Amino acid sequence: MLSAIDYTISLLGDSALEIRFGNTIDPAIHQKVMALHNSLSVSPVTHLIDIIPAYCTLTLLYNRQQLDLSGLNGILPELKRRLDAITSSEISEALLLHIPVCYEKEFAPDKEEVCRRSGLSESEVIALHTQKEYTVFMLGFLPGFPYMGILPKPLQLPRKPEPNFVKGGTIALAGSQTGIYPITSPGGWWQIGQTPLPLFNAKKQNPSLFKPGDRVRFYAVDKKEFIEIEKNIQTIDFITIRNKGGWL
Amino acid sequence: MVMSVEVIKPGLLTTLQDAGRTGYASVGIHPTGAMDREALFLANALVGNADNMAAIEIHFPAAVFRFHQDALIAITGADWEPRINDEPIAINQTTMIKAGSVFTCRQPNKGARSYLAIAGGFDIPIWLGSYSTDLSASAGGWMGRQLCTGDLIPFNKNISLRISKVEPFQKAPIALSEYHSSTITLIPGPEFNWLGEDRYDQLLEQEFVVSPNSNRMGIRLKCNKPLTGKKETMISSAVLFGTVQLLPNGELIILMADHPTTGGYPRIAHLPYFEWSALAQKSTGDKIRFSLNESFEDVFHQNRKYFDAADEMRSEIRMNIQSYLEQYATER
Repeated sequence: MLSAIDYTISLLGDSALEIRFGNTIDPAIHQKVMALHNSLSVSPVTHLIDIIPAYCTLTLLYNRQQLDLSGLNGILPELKRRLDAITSSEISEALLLHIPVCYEKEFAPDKEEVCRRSGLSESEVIALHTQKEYTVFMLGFLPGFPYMGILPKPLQLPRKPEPNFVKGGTIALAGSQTGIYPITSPGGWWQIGQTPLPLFNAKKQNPSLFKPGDRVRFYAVDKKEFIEIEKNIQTIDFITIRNKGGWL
Repeated sequence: MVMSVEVIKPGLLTTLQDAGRTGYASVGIHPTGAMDREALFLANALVGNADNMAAIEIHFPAAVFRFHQDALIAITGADWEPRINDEPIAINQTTMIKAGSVFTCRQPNKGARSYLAIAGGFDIPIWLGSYSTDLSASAGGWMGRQLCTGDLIPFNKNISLRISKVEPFQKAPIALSEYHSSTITLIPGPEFNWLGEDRYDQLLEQEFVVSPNSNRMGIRLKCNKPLTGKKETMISSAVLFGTVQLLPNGELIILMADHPTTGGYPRIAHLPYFEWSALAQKSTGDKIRFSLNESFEDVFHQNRKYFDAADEMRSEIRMNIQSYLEQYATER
C-alpha cells in the first residue's frame, strides 16, 4: 500500500506530459512512477503514443496532431483518477532477475582503478556489488541499457574523467548507479565485469531483457562458467530467462 | 535487378527513414525517423504515397543511385541541384524517370538533408512498427545500417511510363515560408529557471552557430558567451525530439531524431513542432537566433495552423497525382 501521493503534472514541450513524483533517486518514489506506468500500460489513455518512465518522472507522449490544449485538459481528469487509484492499490510484485557476472580481470578493465579509488580489495568490490538487490529505474542511453541502483556507498565513485570503449555485456558503475552496456559503445562508467547474457536482440518481438521496475541481483561466475553460459544462451529467449528469474 | 534502386555511391550518411518509431521508449529504443518530417511527408505526397512511408534521407556529399525500373520520384528538403542523367530536376516536384536513370546531386546550396521518395514506397521489412533505420540498435530500415555501394533497395510499384525522357510535372506549392528562417522559436523547458537570472539575455541576445559535432542525434550549438546557471546535477528524466539541453560547457544541444530517450542535462527549452524542419535543415556554420514563446496556447495554435496548411497542400497534390498517373503510366 502506498500512502496518498504527491505529484505534479506539467507540459513537456508541445507533445508530452511529465508527471513528477519527487526529486531524489529513491525506490519508493520510483514505485509510484511504475504504478502509473503499469496502470497506463494495462489500459491506455487515448492518443498516448509512448511512455517513458525514469527515476522520479513518468512522461507521456501523445500525438500532437490529435491532441491540442483542450484535448489535453480533457484527459487530465482521467490521469488524476489513475493517480488517485494508485494510493489504494497494491503495487504489482516486481520480477527479480539473477544475472551472472564474471569479475575476472580480462572482463573488468577498470577493476584495479575502482579498488584504488575506493580503497576496497577486489573481493570486497565483488562482495559489495553482489550483496544488494537493485532496482531497474529506467532504460535509456542505448537500446536496452538498464540504469540500476542504489549502489552501496563504498562503491559510489564519480564518472570516469574520459569516456572510452566499452564492450557489449559490460557491467559498469558511476555515482549511485550500476548499469550494463547492451552493445559495444563509448562509455564513461567504471567497467568492473561482464555478463554472458545478451541484453538486447533486435530480432525478438520483446527486444530488451530488462524492463523498467525489474529487480536485479548479480552473482559472480568464473571464466569457465561464463563461457559455458554463453554457449547455452544461444537457444534461449528473453521471455524464458525472465520466466525463470534470470540465470541460475 | 528489376524494381530496385542501386546504390552507386553511398554518400555521407544515407538511410531509410519514416516518421519514426514509437511505443518502445520505455526499453530505451530511440525514436529515429526523418530529421525533417515535413520534407518526408511532402516527398511522399508528391508521389502519391501515404505521408509516413519510408524515404531515403540523404546528406551531402550525396549518394548516387541507379533506378532499375521506370519510377515516379520526388526529392524534397535541401536543394542540392539534383540531376537525372546529368539533366537538372527541381526539388519539391514529381519527376518521372525511365529504367536505367542515374540520380546525382551537384552541390550543397541550402539545407542539410534531402529526401528521395518513390511511388509505392520501398519494399523493406518493418521493425517494431516502423521502417526507420536505428543505427544504435543496428535494426530497421535497410539491414539496420546506412546504405553501401552495391545495395539494391527493392521498391513496390511496378509501372512503365509512356515517355521518352525526364518529365517534371506538378510543382508543389511550397508554402512553409519559414523553412530557411534563421530565427527559431523555443518554448521554455522544465529547467529553464536553472539558467541564471539574466536567462532571457543569455538565450535571446546572442547568436548561436551550428557546430560540426551535430548529427542525427542532436544539433550542437556554439556561442560566444557560454550559458551559465545552477551547477547541480540533474536526475535523468525523459527527453524528446526538440529538447534543448544545457551542456556542462555552457553550450546547447537540441535533440533530434536519433536522440536517446532519457537524459541528465537541464532541459532549458523545447523546439515546437512547427520549427522542426527549419532546424533540421541547418548545417554546420549556420547562424541562428532564438525567440521564446511562453504561451503554450499560442504554440499549440501555431502548430495547428502549420498542420492544417501542410495537410491542405498535400491533399491537393494527391488529388492531382492520380490523373497524371492515368495519363502517363501503366501499372503492371
